[in-house]
Amino acid sequence: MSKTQEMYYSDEHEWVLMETDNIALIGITKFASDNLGDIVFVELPDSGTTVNQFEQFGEIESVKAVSELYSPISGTIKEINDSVVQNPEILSESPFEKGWLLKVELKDTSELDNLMNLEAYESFLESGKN
Amino acid sequence: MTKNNKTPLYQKHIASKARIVDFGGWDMPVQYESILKEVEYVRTDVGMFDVSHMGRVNITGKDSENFLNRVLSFNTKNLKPGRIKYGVICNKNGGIIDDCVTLRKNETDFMIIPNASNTNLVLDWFNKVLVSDKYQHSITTSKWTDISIDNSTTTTAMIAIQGPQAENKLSNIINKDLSKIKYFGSLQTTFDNQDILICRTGYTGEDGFELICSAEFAPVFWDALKKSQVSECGLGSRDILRLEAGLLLMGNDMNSNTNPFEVGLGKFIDLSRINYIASDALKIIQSNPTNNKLVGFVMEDKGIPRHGYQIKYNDQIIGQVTSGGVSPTLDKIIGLGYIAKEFSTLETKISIEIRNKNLSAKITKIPFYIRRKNV
Repeated sequence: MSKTQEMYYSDEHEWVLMETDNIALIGITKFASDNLGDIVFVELPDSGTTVNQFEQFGEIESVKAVSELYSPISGTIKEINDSVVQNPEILSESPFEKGWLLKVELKDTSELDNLMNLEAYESFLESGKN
Repeated sequence: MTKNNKTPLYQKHIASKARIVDFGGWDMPVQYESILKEVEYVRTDVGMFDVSHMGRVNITGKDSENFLNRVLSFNTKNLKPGRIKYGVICNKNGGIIDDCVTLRKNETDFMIIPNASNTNLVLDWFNKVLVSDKYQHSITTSKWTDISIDNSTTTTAMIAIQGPQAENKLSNIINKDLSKIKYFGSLQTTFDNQDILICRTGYTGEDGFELICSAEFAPVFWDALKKSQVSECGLGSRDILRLEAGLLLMGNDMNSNTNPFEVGLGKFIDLSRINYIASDALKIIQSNPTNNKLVGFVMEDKGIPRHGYQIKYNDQIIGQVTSGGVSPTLDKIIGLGYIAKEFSTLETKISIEIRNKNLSAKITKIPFYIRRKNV
C-alpha cells in the first residue's frame, strides 16, 4: 500500500512523505513518471548537500527528453536512493515507494504549508494547469 | 497555428491510447506502452509502425528515368523493375535536400519515399528542375515532354512491419510466399481484393517490410496485423532502432548544409553521369573535402548525449553530437556526431559535455548493431 494519502505534493509533481518529525522522503508522482515515459537516467546530488524548496536538485532523463527535478522542501540530504540511480526503471514501476529519490532532514517543517494534500493535488491535475 | 496532418491510422492510435506528438507537421504516435519494450518487440519478434507521414511521390512517363538521373545520386538506368535503391537528393551546391529510397515499378514508373517534412521540398525541387531545364538549352537536359509527378501521400497509407518474425507473420496474414522478395525488392499484390505494394525495406536494422495500401484500407489491415499479435510501435522506438543500426536521420544527423561525403554516404553517389545536377559541385567537394566526419561513439561514463552537445578531445572542442540515447539492445549509451577528421580513429577517447561535465566516451564503428542475416 502506498502512502499517497499522507503525502504532500508540489505543482512540479514531486511528493514529500514525513518519516519522523523532521525526516522526509522525496520523490516524483506517478503523473510525472507516466508523462516522462521510459526513464533511463537519474542524476542526484550527494548525501550531505542541501536542497532548497522549489529549487532544482537533479536531472531525470527519459528516452526522449531531459527534465529537471525540483525539491518540494528545504533541508540536508541524509541519504540518496542509489538503486534508482542504478536502475532508473524503478521510477516508472514504483514512483511512490521503491522509487523515492532523497531522504532529507527538513530545515523548516512550516514549508509543508506551501504544498498540496492528495485531494488538492488531484484537483490540480484535473484542472489541467500542470 | 496550422492544424497538423493526421494519417489514415490516427484513430487507431487514439483507440490504443498512444502518446501523440508532432513530427514534421504530422500528429504521430511516439509510443504506445513503452518505447523500450517496443524496441524489444522489433529486435526479438515483430512490430508495426504507421509511417504514412513519409512521402509517396510517383514519377511516371517515358522521361522519368532520365529525369531522375538528373536529380538522384545514383544511376537510375541500373535500377531494375521491382527493385529499390537508397540515395540522396542534393541541391546544386551538393547540400542534401533529402535522403530517400526509390522504387522502380516498371520501365516508366518510379516511386520515391521522401522524409515526412521534406516531401514538399523534394516536390518543389523536382518541379524547379523541370521548369528550368525546359527553358535552358543544354546538351545534357531534355524538354521533359513525357513525365508526370504526382503526390499520393494523403490518398495512401504506409505501414512498416519489422522484426525477425516479420516475414512469417505477414505471409500468414496475406497468404502469400514472401520469401521470394529479396532485400530491397518489392511485390505488387492484392489482399482482400485490395492492391498492396510490399517492399522489403525498413529503418530499424531488422528484416521487414514496408507496405503501401489505400488510405481507406489501412485501418482494416492494421487490425488484421494486430489480431495476429504484431505489436504496435511508435516513432520513439523507431528512433532508437535506427540509431542502433547506424541509420542517419535527415534534419538531425544531416541537413542542407552537409554534403554526402562527410556523412559517409559517398558510396551512394555516382558522379560519372554528365547530366546529374549536383555532379560539378560534388566533384569539387570530393576533391576538397571538409574536415568533418560523422562518427559513432559509445559512452564510458554514465550520461546521455543529445543533439547539439559538444564533443571534446582533452579540453578542445572537436565536434558536436547529432543523435544519442540509450541502446536497450546493446545495453550501452550510444551516439553519432561530427568531429574533426584527425580524431576519428576507432577507439579514440573523447568526451561529451553534458550539463557542464566532460563525460568520457570512445569512437566506435557504425552500425552499433548488426542483425544476423537470413535475407
